[in-house]
Amino acid sequence: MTSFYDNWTIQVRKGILELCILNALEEGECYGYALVKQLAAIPGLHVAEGTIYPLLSRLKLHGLVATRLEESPDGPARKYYKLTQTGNKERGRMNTYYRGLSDAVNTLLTPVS
Amino acid sequence: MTTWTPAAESFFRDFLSSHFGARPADEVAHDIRCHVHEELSQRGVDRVTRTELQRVVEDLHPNQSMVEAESAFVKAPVIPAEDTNKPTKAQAIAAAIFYVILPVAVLVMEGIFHWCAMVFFDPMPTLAHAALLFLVPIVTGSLLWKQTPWTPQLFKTIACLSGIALVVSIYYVAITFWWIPFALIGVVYFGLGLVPLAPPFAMIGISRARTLMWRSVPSAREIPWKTWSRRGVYAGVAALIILELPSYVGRVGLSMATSENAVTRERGLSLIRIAGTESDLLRKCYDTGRGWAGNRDAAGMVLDELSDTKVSSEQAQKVFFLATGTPYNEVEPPRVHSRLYQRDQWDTVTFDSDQGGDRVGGRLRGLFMDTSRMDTHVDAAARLSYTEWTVEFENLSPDTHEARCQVQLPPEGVVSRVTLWINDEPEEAAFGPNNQVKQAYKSVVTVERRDPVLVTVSGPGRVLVQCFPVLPRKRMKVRLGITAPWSPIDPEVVLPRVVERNFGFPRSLKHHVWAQGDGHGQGTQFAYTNKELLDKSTITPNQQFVGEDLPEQIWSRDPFAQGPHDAVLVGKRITELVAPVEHVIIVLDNSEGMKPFVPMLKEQLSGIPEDQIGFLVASHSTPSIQTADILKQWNPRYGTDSLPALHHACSKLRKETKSGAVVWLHTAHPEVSSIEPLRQILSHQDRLQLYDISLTHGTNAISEALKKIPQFRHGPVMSSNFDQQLGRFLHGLTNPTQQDKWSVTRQSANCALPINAIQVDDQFPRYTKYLEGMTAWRERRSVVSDWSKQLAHYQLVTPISGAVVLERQEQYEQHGLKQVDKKTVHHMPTVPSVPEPSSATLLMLGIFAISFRRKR
Repeated sequence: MTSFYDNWTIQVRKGILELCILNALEEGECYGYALVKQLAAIPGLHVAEGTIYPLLSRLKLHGLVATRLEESPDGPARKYYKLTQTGNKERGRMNTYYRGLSDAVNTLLTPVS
Repeated sequence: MTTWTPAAESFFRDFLSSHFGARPADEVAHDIRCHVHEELSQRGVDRVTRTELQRVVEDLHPNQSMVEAESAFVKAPVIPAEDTNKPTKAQAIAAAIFYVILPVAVLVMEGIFHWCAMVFFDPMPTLAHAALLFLVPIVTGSLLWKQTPWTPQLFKTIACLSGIALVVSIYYVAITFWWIPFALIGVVYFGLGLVPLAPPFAMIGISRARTLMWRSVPSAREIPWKTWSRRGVYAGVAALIILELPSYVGRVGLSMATSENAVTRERGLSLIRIAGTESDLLRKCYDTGRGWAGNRDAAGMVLDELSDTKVSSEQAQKVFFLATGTPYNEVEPPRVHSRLYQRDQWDTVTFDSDQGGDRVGGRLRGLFMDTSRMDTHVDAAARLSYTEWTVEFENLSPDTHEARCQVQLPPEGVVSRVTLWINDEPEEAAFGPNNQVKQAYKSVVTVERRDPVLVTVSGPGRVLVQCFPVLPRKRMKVRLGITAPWSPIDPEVVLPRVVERNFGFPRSLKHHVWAQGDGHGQGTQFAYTNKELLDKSTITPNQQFVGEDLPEQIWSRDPFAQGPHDAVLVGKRITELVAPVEHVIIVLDNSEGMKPFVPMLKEQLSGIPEDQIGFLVASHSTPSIQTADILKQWNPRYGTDSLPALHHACSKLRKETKSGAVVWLHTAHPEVSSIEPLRQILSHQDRLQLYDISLTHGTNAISEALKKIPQFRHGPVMSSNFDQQLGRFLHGLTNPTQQDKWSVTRQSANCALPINAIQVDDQFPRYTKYLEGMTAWRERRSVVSDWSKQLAHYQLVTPISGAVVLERQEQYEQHGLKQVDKKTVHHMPTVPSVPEPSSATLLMLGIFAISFRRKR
């Protein structure tokens, strides 16, 4: 049974992860597997690799990311992700919002001694 | 390539359903699989087992709560439009009927009954065409109703095939779009007309199926459908080009090849030779233009509709020869669908346009020479051979046919008997002037359709035999008797053979030959296949039945004599010196059929002195007379018209010499250009001879056109020792030669005969009359009609007399003809087939018989 804390962290990471994904794609098109590895490797993000794919799928449904399949002789086709124009615009808005929210939350946090 | 064990696959499915919901979205499942694949590849795993997979998915450890939240979301319908795109039941049934069932049914019906081929064009001339056409409804059906999920590989395949099907359907709609208004009118007013609408329905079907696939299947947007579809389109275009372009090119080439302009004609022929197809051109040769499409292909229909001028079948026949070097009727005719398919019937050419005419024309399916028998007798004393050739024609087709053929006679041979079996009884012919017998035959063939046979000369050494009607499923039996000179110096007997025909020879046909003579030996029997007969065509009589010590004087009763005062002919052997001609030009046919003879001819012709003989190789450019050096680069190809070369050679000799000979060595030669200029020169030039030497069987239009010209003669006939005969012939033309012949006198039956004269049969007076008639005809002595009556009286088929067998006496009387008196008909002499028992044997038999009686 998850504790209150675990639930809260899940909820926070859920919102953050989408922002992280969009920002990770800012540089340009990225292979899905590499994107997942990149995000999973970010210290402190504590994201499981398997969790990211459903998020990517949802972002695609919303039209924020687009995908492209490339044939692979060794196995399934490789999927590449990139930001759409809408996604880029939303990323900017989310970043602005996050910064504002972060600054606001920070004013309430007790500084670490 | 990584492989997964069944256990690994099962584990993966369980993993997905347990962590991503009972039915994870396709996309998520695909992404997880890709991720797992990458992990395994990096670990160097080729064979994925459950154990290996477990290790990988542990690292994935998706957060259950998060995934559940997302899974609930991502399992929502992927494409909102999916529901609205799903067809209703009525739409599905309509789609099935119009997009799949109707096109398939139309194609199957066409394959069986060939309606479209009969009326418009043949949409399935080859199996490849049929495969492409059937592909359209099959792919449409697959796209519309496939239930099981698509794998990526199958998806790519169907994308490609749908591209091909789309292109094929567009092409066939493009060439048949003009049917649509008529079909719609038919549907609206008469309730009929769906069949011509099958192509547009098929095209609409495949287009809709592709669109539905693109919209309704999520995978269509992932896997590059458009890429594979585009590849299919390219493949479809390539397939159509490979299958259809030769026909279009061939048709354009055919049209160009009939142009007035020589350069355009050559270009057209080149196009046909490079890119056209022989089968398409052959169909056009049989296109009678009598309202039926004649099974033309799509190119034929399109170009015929677009063109103001259509190429006739006669023009196509000429082009066929020039493009291929083979006359069209030497090739098996195409299957032309003209009636409902019946399994045990032959398809036939819809109409025999040469029936009752003067040429053999195209092959008729279902008509065969079924049996053949030759009986040959050598009358060595008279220096004559007599051959009776009895054949039976059989008609397996459902139509009544006329059997026609040209028979090559032995050198200097003449037809001296014609018999037709009517109701199993042999009926002899009536002989008369050519126009009279032809008139009788044609009136019976075209009006009464009864049983006539007509035999007329169709060229030097050739006769045209016409037999009508050969009824469906019935036979017709005819016999020709042929008299020819025979020489002990060159004792081979040349047999007659068919050199052009409108019927087939079954593979099993054998020509059964019986050869006998007046000597003491028995006759011999053997059989030739048709090919052997054409290749060898001679028999060598053995010395035993020819006999030795041939007489120098002979006599014979003349059954046709006017009265007893000249009823006996006496022949005395004399030697005559024949003067050579001043100059000889050898015209060499440059057609493909000459190729097998080039080495032999080069050897025979190269040694001839240059001052005596010039050479001219027929070509499309201006001919010029050369020395024998021309033979070194002689390379026959395709078909060539020999007429310009023959005309040039005859013109040159007419201007430059007082006596000359043109020797034409050739293969089959149909009519390609006008023969009039050559005929005109020959008819005004008595001292110019044109010798026709055909090296193969086949049509000879020049010979047929010049048959009435006395100066047009034939040279040696193709046989096993042809090279020697050709050498002797050319030597005889260019050098003084001794020639043996009979000096014939007539006397009364009451007068004493020369002491050593041997009696011979009535072939001698017949052949003597033949020689007299031909000499008079060539020297233009006396009126032709007088000689034609005399030659007919002697029962001879010559350039000015023919033979016809009619069914009833009234028919003969109606045309002023009289059937021959059976007492005057020449019959094949019989020789003992069992050796005569010797005296000792008879004595022994007698003693044995007496002993036997005593014991009883």
